[in-house]
Amino acid sequence: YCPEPRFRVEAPLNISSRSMRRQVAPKAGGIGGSACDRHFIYSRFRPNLVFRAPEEENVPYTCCNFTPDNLSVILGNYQGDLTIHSIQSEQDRVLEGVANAPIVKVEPARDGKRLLIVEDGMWRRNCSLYSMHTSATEFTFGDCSHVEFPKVTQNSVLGTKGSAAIIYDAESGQKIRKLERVDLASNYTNNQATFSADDELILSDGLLWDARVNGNKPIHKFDKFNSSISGDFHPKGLEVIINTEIWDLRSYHLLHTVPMIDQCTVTFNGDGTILYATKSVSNQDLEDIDEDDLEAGSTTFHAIDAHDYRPLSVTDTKHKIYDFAADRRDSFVAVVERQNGQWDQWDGPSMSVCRLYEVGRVRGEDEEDEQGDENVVDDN
Amino acid sequence: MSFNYVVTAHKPTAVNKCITGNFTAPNELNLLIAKNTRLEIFMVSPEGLKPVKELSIYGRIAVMELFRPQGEEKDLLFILTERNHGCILNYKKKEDGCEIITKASGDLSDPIGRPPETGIIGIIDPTSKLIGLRLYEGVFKFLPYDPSSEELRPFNIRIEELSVIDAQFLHGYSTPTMAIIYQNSQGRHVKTHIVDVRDKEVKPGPWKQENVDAEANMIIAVPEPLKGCVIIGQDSITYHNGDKYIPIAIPEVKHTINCFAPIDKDGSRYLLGDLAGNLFILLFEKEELMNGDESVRDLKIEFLGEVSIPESISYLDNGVVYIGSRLGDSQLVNLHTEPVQQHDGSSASPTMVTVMDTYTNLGPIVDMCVVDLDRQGQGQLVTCSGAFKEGSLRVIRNGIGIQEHASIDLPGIKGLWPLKVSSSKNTYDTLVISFVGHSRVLKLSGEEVEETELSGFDDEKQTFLCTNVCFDQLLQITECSVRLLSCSERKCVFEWKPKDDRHISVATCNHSQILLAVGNLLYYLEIKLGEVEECQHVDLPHEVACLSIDPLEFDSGGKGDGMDVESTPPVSKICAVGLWRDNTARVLKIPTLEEMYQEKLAEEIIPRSILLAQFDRINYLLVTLGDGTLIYFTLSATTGNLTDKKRVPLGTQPTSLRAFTSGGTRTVFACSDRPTVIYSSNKKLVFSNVNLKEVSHMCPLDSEGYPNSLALANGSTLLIGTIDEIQKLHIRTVPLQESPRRIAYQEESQCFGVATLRTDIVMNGKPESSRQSASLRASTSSKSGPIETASRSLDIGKSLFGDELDIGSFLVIDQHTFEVHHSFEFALHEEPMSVMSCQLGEDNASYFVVGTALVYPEETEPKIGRIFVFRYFENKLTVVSSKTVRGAVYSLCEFNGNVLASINNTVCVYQWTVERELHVECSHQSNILALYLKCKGDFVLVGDLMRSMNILSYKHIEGNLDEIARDYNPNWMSAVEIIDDDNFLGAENFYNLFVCQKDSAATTDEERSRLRETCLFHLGDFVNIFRHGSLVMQNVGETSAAGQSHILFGTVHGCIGVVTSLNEDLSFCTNRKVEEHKGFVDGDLIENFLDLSQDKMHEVAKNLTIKEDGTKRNATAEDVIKAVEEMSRIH
Repeated sequence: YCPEPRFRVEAPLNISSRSMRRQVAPKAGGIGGSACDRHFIYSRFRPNLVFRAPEEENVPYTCCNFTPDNLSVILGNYQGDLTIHSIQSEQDRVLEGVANAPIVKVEPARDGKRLLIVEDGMWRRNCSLYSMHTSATEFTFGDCSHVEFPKVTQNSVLGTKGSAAIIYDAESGQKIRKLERVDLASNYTNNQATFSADDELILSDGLLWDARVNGNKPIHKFDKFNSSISGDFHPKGLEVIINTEIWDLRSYHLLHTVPMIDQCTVTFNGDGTILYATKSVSNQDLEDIDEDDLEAGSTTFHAIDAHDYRPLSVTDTKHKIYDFAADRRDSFVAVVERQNGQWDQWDGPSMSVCRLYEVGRVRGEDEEDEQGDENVVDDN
Repeated sequence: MSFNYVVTAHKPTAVNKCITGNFTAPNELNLLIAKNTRLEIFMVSPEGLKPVKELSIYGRIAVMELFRPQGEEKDLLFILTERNHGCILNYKKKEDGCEIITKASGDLSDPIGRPPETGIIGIIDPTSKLIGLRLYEGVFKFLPYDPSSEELRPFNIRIEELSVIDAQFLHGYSTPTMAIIYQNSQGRHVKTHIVDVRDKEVKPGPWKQENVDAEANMIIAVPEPLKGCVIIGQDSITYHNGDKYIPIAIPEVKHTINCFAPIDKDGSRYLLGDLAGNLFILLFEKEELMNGDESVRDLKIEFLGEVSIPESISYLDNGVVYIGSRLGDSQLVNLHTEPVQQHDGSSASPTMVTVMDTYTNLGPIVDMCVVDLDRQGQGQLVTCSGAFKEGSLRVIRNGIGIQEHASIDLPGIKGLWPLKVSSSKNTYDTLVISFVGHSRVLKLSGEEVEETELSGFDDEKQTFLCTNVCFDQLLQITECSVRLLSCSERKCVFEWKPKDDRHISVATCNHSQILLAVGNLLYYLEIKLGEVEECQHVDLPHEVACLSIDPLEFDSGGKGDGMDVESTPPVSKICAVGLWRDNTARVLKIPTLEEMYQEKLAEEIIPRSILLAQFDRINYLLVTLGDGTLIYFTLSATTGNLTDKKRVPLGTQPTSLRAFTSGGTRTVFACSDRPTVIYSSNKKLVFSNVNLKEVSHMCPLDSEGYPNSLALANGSTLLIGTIDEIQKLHIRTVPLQESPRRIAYQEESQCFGVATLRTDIVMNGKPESSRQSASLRASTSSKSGPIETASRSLDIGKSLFGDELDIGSFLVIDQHTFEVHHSFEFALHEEPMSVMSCQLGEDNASYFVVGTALVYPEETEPKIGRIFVFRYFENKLTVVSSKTVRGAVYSLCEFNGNVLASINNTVCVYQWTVERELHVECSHQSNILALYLKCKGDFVLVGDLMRSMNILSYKHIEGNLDEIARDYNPNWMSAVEIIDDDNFLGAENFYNLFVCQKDSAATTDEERSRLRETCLFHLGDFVNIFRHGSLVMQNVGETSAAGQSHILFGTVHGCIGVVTSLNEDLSFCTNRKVEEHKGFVDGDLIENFLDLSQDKMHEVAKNLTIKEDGTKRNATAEDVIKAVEEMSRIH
């Protein structure tokens, strides 16, 4: 291990020195201090709570997300039920029959009253908007394989259907606009249309659209370097991440290549300073996943500095990851992990639990090898 | 809902930036200084810096530049705050002062973008047409100057280079051309860009230079005729203009050069300052080209001398330079062409730089403690201020100190007067002291005081008054008579007695007028040459309790009372009396003694002292009552009307008032059990406590032996001393010359325990210090043994020549002399992190406990630290116990006789065993880094690196620490404090204060375990430390806000503030609250109210309601003034 030489005006690497230095020097103890802090914090993840499906039912969890208040975790399961678990107490709320098939994605609206659900049916994916108020599905976006809310105003829904991005009105469920250019399509196998941080741009199937301008002319087409992942916007708004390629949003130049995040799902922390990458299986056909299939999914999640794409840490959960979520307070990440050794108990996919990892905390000396079994919160 | 009142007791003093220009007038040179959120404007004059105006900017000043667009006759000021609010300011002179006008302003922030780590850059093109800003990485924002626009309309241009270190516009180009230093993976490079304002794009500039100095950090644009630029690096300085590339090595500089100032308009000489406080001059050697142009042939750098570690420097004029410092005191220095001896007479070798003036800076306040050093019931603040060679302790006292020079045991003094008897100079030489039944005369020859005879003086009676009066005469008033003594003839020349030999009860006089009372008979007499003429007498309804005939127009050029006999002494046209029984103050006309105005003062309590005085051209009448209350009015000299009655409790005993002059300003000394100095600041009366327990009488004394002194008497002693400069906070500096980190006070040993760090440089295989800093000048010293469990050998063998090594020490410093009694040096790489003084276990002894960390620069976190328990007893420091722990000991608290320590992410309770060792009792891990600890009873408040605050509870029976509540917001903490059992105060990284509340009564566990953020406040400064305590005397019998508990805070910029809870009754203040804030009241804003004009005050009060005895009513301006003045007295 050879640390890079640090310049004199730069912040010291040792957090003790930095904490003392920031009392006299500008913020964070010098230039690069906040990067050092990120490195310090996001290289430590301590297994915390485990949410396990009730014993008698044994339905595995398939996806997870945090509620907008960050106080609970929403878990979707293989049967199409949702469970909302409180992190601070043992309270939970179960919403049964939200979908008819395994839920692979759940996204709550910021008001916490509506949920976007993506279920993975036998023949096709199905997307719907679920109202917590009426405990019923409000609309379905039948043909879409992916839906998400815009980042700023949440009065519309962006759906993905093949290479097309479709904007729906979130109040009526009506289709407002369809963005597609078959002639320019990149045909990513797992295209997921997405809004930029300010809702002004839409990225879908390698094409960049101006969300505010009607018409059928995309602004730019990014070169296709992979066949499946259509990419995300950086929340700070200046870059687009398409699989391993980081593109400059203003010049469309290729800025970085990060081989580590190949075929990974990308998630950001609360203030957009950290990028988490997981090779999760949530976008795969759950039925197809086999114990020996090492290609689909992995057991690790990466924390990457979203500033310079420097890898900060790799955390091995020792289990295949179904889904991954980060809260917006930078306290926890939630991982739906497939459990080993329970293969025969369920004739579908193997059992899974949702484990919370506390950000920035090290494992205590005495809890080194216990996989947090006493922290388990059971559903009964 | 409770509110917290936040107010500044001491404004920020750390300098961020200073610039010069012609801001106030085309021919006036100004120095502008930015101190965090404050802007100070000075005029440079031959007499020094004259303050012009001080502004408060809503935001931290990030960029401050003067520029002069075409058509303007003087400079405009561009300011940008850290939150990207920009404005262009213009100065306008007005009849009664000046005004700063905002020409244009605007929010320049973008919704998206990444703030750069290297900070905001703001530059202005030499033609003043274009302002360039780098607010986000990879983008430059350009702001063309438009004289007609009130809005700032910038445009963004993307530039390829992401990590820009510095930028400057170059001189001599027709289109704006900018040179930047940028960094990429290959190193640092310089590049030029041409800014095309019309097409809003940048084009490649005329030249670029790759791979400049690896730590190039600054660029200086050289004006015409030379043009080009200078690139400042760590090892080299380079001149570059596209054609020429002239690098020179910097042999003498071992520290980063961080600021510069041009000396000449043509840019041929520059001053450079570095992080060690060295000042250099950079010169160009010029050559003439064939075509007659001048060009640079070579560069030369010369060391000038040492100054305060500069943050920004400005060359003023005539070799005078302003050194703005963030880490130490700012200075005004003089540059010499030949080496000269320092003014202060130190043995240091001759230098080219001499210090003319220093400006106290408390920043950065790293730690502090509140101590009652004088045991006067008044807290003093002792701060760890500054860093590196500027490190110091500062003793901050509210009020005014008296430095004692002589004291004589003289019980029973009833009065004191200075006289000028024989001296031809303008100084006093005699002191008259009166006792019950007799008087004594003391002669002052040099510092000697001896009893003497004064011919003609009646020393067998108690003297009521004795003073020099007009025509070179002395006046003595006793209970029997008024005696006039001639100085030249040395005898009594005239004696006046009241009718029927009645006794005089009270008397006063000025240069030529006497006012005295015999029972309820009031006499007015005038002093002539050789006689006293009785002019008028009146019968008043009651006996006279006190009277004043002090002239309102006071000649501030005079030395003191009755001294300036040469100039025509002012004659009073009015006088004031206070009466027994009806407790009125009356204003009477002179010489007729007819009543002009009367005002009832109180029901029961009689007036004891009355004084007419003028401050800042406002006439006041001050009256003190028998219970120590002061009532004051503004007085109309023509009608005698008294208005704006205000009441201030000064002490608890009868108070007498005496006017005197200190430093050319008129002040009033109130003698009581809480002696107070009253003076005027900004046309507002200010009351400052004096650090003496009791003063019954005082008089000014300016003698040869005791220049500018005061004579003060209490029940038993006569004291001669000098008074501090009149100002609210008094600051004493104790230089340490190394970085102080933590401080603790120990009453038993009367010492401070201070943890410090000094930086040595490895020379010839061992560390050597460049200066005699505090840890090296201790009377005794010792060293710690090595840490047994350290993973590597702790020797400096591997250190290279010239490497810097930090040496940590624990110092025991005397509370009176501030001498370093002992210095304890820690092991190599071991740094002290925390200090406390406490009593442990059943022991009655006081211990100093110090927590350390073994800090290796290449590790991300310390793995080993130690807790030392020291005892300082009979001048010896012994290590009673030391314990090795797994991590850095960030914080220590005394916890029920145990030691509570935070070690990395763990909070631990250590018991003090009978064997005098620390024994782990329990620990709790729920933090990323538990940086700050405070405790109260069994509760512990923990401040985390990024996880805000949490509260632990100690269970005695189980011996456990359990978390009971937590704030789940991601706040990066910088300091924490417990307000009360349910409220917790925190300060965080983004310069905010907030209060979290624990809801013990909540019904669910979930709610009980969550801290609610109840109050938020943007302070704009980084708080390093909170301490309970107060800077003001805790006055007995004082009501309202000033009596409650306060929390003091110290910041990076040297600001001291006070946070206090407000009760409901004051909640009318809330309708002046600033948006977004909640639960906090901005005291600085509220107290601005007192500076408003009367009409404005009424306007503010118009919509306010006040709660009185449970009912609401509309508030009057007076109510508001009273409330705000009460608040302003907490600091």
